[in-house]
Amino acid sequence: MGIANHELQFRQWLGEHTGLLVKVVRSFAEGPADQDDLFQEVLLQVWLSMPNFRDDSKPTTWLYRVALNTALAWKRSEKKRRHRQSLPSISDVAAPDVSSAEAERNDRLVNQLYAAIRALEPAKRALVVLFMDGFTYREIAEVMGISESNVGVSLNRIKKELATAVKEDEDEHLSR
Amino acid sequence: MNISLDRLQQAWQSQCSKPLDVNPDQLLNGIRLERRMYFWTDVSISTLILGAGFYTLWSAFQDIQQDWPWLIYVASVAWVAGFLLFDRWRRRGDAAHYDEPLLAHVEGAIKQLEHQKWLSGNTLWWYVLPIAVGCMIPPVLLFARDYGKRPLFDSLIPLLLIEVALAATFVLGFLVMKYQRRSGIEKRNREIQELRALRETLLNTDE
Repeated sequence: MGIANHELQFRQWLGEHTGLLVKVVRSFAEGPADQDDLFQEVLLQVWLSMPNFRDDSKPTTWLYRVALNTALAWKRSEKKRRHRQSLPSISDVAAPDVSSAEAERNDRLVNQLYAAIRALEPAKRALVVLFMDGFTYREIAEVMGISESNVGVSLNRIKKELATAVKEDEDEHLSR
Repeated sequence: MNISLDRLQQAWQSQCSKPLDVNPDQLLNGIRLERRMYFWTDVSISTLILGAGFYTLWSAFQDIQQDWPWLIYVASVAWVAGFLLFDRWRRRGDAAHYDEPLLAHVEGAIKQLEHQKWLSGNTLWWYVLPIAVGCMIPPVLLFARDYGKRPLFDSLIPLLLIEVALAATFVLGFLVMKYQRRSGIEKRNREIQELRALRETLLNTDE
């Protein structure tokens, strides 16, 4: 891939799949400063890994791999907070839709879901993000590098954990 | 209130975000600076080692019969430089890539960290000791060669002073490096532990 194509592809992917990156970032980092830091790290790794991209994998699957690996590495790294002012911040792209009561309710639910996901172990977070985005067990297995049956077993347990956590939050919200 | 997973998925997938336009140059500024720094550090160290090595070699070859003990120093420097290059070459394919499946990435990262830890733990054998031997043996051999040609104390005292100074420098240098690297090793141990836990979760072996 030539430099010009590389840049064109990068810009096209960011135009189409920013949402995917935002979801990974919000699932792994809490608070604007950490989210910006991870977001910038993900963008950087996407750009640096692009020469390895082969057309036999879907861009979304590939982007998820890069974003999740970066998030997992960032999670354990102590080199955080290298926030670069000139680079995009997550608030530039994450745009909650609160135009209707339904959208507002969705937004609240999503925030609770993110909090519940961040409470999970890092590997489980990766599974949930992919599952929530509608990936099949086979696709999840491909991104994670584990067997489909393993994905099934893990997800069954996590789904229960998640449903309970979000349900409790929702009940709490209603009781206020 | 019972929330179904379908409902959660629906809410999740309804999230919207604005498209992003980023100039890759902006992204790369930081990393370019970092890489340039690593590159010039590498170049400076290599130039210093090679320069010292070539100078000694050249001096030794001026009068090979007389100054051959200094070849031991050249050999020790060549050993360290060779080990550095060989180690980089041997590990060139081991770097964890970010577009690998998560499990492969985690396993690659564990291997990399274990190797770095092994290197840090063996600084004495691979770096300090060869250089120390290379620096400390030639003066002794030169002393032995000239033994009897000059009054004993005229050559023994300088030899002892040189050897003691060199030994003290290497011991002190080693202790400082060991102290500095201890925190590095602790950090790597923590990371390896986290990665192993992550691998176990991925493989579901915690059941």
